[in-house]
Amino acid sequence: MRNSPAELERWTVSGRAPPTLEERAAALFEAIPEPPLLSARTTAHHRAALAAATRRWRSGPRLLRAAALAAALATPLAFAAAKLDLAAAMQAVVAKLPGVFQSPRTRPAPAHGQEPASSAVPVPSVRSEPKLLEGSPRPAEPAPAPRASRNETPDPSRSEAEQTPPSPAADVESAPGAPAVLAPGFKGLQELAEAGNGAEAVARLERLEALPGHEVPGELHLVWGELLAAGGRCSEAIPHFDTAMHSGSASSIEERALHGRLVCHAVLGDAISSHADADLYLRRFPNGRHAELLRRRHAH
Amino acid sequence: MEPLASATANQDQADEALSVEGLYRLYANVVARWAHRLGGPEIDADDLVQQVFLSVQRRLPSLRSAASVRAWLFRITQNEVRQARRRNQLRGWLGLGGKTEARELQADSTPEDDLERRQARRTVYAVLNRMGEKYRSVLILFQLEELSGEEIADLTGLKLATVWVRLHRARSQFLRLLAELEGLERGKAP
Repeated sequence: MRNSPAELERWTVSGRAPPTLEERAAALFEAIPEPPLLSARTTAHHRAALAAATRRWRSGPRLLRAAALAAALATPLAFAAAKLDLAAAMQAVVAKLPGVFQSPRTRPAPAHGQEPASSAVPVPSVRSEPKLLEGSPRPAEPAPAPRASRNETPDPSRSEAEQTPPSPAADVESAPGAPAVLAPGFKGLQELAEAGNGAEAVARLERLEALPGHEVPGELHLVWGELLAAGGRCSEAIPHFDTAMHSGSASSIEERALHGRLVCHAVLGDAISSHADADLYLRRFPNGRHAELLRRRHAH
Repeated sequence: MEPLASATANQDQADEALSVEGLYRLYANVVARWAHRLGGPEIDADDLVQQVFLSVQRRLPSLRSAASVRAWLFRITQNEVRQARRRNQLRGWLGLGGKTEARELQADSTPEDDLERRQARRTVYAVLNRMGEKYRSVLILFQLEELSGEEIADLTGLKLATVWVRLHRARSQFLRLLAELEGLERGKAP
């Protein structure tokens, strides 16, 4: 065995002449003096250094804890002082727009004879149609309800985009350069959303995006974001709102996307981003649909 | 002594032994010896002991049991020696001059003996410093500290077979480098 312990005896000096290389190595090792013990002075010096280090070590975490506590207290105090409690403000927005940020399952039904609140999203509604008996004549389609009731007192100072009730279909159709081929697909999404099947609409959008060489236009990203937000998936919705905002689409699309992002940030508890978006919204759309509410909140 | 009181006393002893002060009291001279052996003449062993125990203080929470404390201390010492040697090398490259050998006076030696010992130490460490770290430390523990293979394995955390393989290679390397050094010195001699 090449590496057996028996082969590895320590080198020793035999006293033969001339000495072999191993014997010369052994003589060198043997000549090395024993290490001295630590002196009392050195030991005292070490003990003092260790005691000083212990004091630093013990006071360090205490300082860190105090700094962390101060930072944790300072943040809400700063917000309260500036009266910018945006999370609460955004909760009010969310409460005003139940169709946008509540899932179809949890959304309260509108009271009888009352129009649903204005919504930035195509509100998926489940229409209950009476079942027809075989052979019975189909009733005539009811006339569409007048939509002007929402804008009974139109403000002439408001732009057309602000007064028009939100309709993604109209936005897509009117978007300059919007490919006509997408319109039927979009209508299909509308139908799905109206049937309360937002998840299937999102799945279709995902399939559309996965198609090679197929770029989803900004308008559809907006709808995508709104569908996700309506399903309570705000963190996933934010990137779609971002894309819609930067897609170069009409300003009404950008406004809705910015508002969607603002509310999503607030829902996720990111008050700083929500505040920044609110500022941006008021700068970009001083007469926007939600400007008045945001301004009131800022004024508080 | 009551069993409970005995257990409490044992626990107190164990706690004391696992404090920095306790470890220093028990192991300061052992660490100094390792530092002296592993560091060689260019390293200030006293400074190194202080560095080791400051490091022990930081790492004490990671020590799992008192049974492994010796091996744990050895690893820390080895790391500190490695860092000190690197610093010394860097100082040499930057032309700041490495630390010089501390003169250790032996009470029972003549000046000639003292010179011979210092010369031997310098030669041995001149060869050892040209070896890889893993071979260097195993050879020092075997030849200078006179530890057995099993003791080296316990201290370094290596398998026994690995210790023997490293030792075998370390010895071959040491002899080859020593021959080269002696050849160089003979060439330099007038």
